[in-house]
Amino acid sequence: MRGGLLAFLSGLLLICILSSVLSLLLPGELDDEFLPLMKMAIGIWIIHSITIFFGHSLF
Amino acid sequence: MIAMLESVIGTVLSSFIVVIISSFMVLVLDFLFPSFSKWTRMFLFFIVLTVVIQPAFEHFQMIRGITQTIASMFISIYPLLTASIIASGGSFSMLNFQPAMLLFANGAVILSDKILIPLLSATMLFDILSRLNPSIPFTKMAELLRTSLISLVSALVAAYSIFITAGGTISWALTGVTSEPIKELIRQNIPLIGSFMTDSLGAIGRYSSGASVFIGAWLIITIWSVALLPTLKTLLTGFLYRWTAALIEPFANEEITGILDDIGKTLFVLCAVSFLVAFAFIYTALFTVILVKLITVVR
Repeated sequence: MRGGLLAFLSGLLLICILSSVLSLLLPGELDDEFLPLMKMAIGIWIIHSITIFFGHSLF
Repeated sequence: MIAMLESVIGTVLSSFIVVIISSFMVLVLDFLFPSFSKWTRMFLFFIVLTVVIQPAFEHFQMIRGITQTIASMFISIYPLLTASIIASGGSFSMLNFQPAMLLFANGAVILSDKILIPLLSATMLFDILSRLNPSIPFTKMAELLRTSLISLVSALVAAYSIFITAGGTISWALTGVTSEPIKELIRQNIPLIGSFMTDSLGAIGRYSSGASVFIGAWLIITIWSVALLPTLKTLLTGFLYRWTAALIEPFANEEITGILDDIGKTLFVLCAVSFLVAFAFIYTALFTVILVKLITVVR
């Protein structure tokens, strides 16, 4: 339980820091195109973690 | 007491001074070089994080260490207490022994070690992430974790006070009339956990006013202050976080004040948790002292 939580939280932290650094480096007019990509990455990570938490009983 | 205040303020205030000065420097830099404002915001964020997170995590570590100490103390002392109560027979009829306390104390200690503190750290992380990247917010998750922790802890304490008062030992309880205005004052002024604090203090007071017949009032005051000192420290640090946020709000970034405010809130929840641990400690200490006193009197 605790290992799963730790992995989930560190993944979230990594995605957030990487995406904010990337959005700093990108020019300003590309921000609107980059935002959905960030959201997709977070969404994929959260759905993946949910399936790992609950195993195959989810489907 | 004054030394404790000085130590808390001395350790925390220096890091807050860094926050105040650096947010002002960022203001000046933004005015001089407006095109770098995104970068300066990020740099300010990391400076504030490195400076501000440390005192909060020290408190987490402190509460965890105290919890482990109390767990080992309680678990080692309780069989001894049980055995001596059985051995001494009838002289203990005035004290009714409650085995549910063992369940409560163990449960509280395990809960705060295994569940509460990891969840509180997770709450802090969610707050920081949603401030770092406002387009990906986790505010609902953080608020959910905080409120559910508070409700869990207050339910446990309510169960505890029911165990203590339903035993019937404490018939000469603290009269509610005299302390009611003070309770109301605390409840109004300390956010989030004020009502919980007054209730739990009332429960401790009911129990220890019954016990003060056997042991002196000074001993009770000592036990109280030893048990409640970490809680007071945490509360004071939480207030310092909110004080800094209020102080720099006119000129600093909104995110910086928000993060200070959120960490203050999380520390208030930690304060509630440490109340729970203080209960277990006070109960054990009072029980041991009463037992020793009765054994020496009966001899």
